Amino acid sequence: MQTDEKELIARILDGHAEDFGYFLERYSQEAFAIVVRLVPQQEDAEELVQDAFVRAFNHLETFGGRSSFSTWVCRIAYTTAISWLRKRRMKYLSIDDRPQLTDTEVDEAFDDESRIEELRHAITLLKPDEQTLITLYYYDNRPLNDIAYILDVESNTLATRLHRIRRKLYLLMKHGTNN
Amino acid sequence: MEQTIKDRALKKALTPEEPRQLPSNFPYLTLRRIKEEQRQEERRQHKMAIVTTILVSLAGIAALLYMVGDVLWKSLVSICNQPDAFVLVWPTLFCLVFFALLNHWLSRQYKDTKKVL
Repeated sequence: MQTDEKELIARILDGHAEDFGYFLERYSQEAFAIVVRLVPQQEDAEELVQDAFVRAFNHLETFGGRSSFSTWVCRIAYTTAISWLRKRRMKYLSIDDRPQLTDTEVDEAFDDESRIEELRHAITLLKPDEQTLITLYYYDNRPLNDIAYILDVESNTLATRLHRIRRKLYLLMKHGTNN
Repeated sequence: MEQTIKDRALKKALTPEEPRQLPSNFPYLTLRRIKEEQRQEERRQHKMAIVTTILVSLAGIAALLYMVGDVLWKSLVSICNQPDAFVLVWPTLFCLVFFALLNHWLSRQYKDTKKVL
C-alpha cells in the first residue's frame, strides 16, 4: 500500500471522513466490476457497492495493510454481494463434472472463438464464486494470492478449483448445445 | 500457466458486452450516506448516554433511600421544624440558575469552536 494511502487512512480514523472520497474515486469502479457480474441489475449492484464502501469505512481500523486497499475493498464487495444473493436464495445449476474429459478437449473449446456465445451463456450458469474466480483470473489477471484473499479461500486450492470450473464450463456448453 | 496465449474465447466471453459504470456522483452520494450514518450513530450514542445516566442516577438514589432513607427523612423533618430552615433557599436557587446559564453559554461556545475547526 502506498504511504499516501496509509496517511489518508490515519486521517480518516482521526475524524476526517471526507478523505474517504479518495478511496471511493479510486476503487469503486473496481469493486463495481466484481459485483455487477454477480448482480446484473444496475441499481442493486450500485447499492451493494455503496453498502460495501460504508462497511469498509465503518471497519477501517481493522484494515491492517496485509493486502492492498483495493483487494480489501473488493473482498468486502464480494462478500456483500454473496450475502445478498444468499438471502434471495438463487438457484444455480449443479452438474456432474466427473465424466471422462481430456484437457485438450476443454482447451480447444475455450480457444474456439465461434463458441463465444455458448461460453457466455455457460458462464451465467456457474455459481457466483465460480464466476468471480474465473473473471478475476482470466479477465482481470489478478495474482492468485489476491484472488484467494478476495474469495476467502486457500490459495493452494485455486488451481484445482480453476481446473474443475473449466471442466464444468465445458460440460455446461455441451449441455446447452444438446438442449 | 499458459492462459495468456490460450483461452482466447474464454477471455472474450468474460469481456462485458456493454461496459457498465457507476454514476459519476457515486463518491458524493456514498460520502453523504456515510456522514448521515455517522450523525445517526452520534445521536444514538447521545441518547444512550442520557438513558444510562438517568438509570444509574435512579439506581443510586434508590440504593441511598434503601440504606439511609429513614435517617434522611428524620433529619429533613427536624430541619424543617427549625425557624431559620428556609434561609438558604433563595441563594441556592440563585446559584443553580447561575450554573445552568453558565453551562448553556459554555456549550454554545464549544459548538462554535468545533464549527471553526
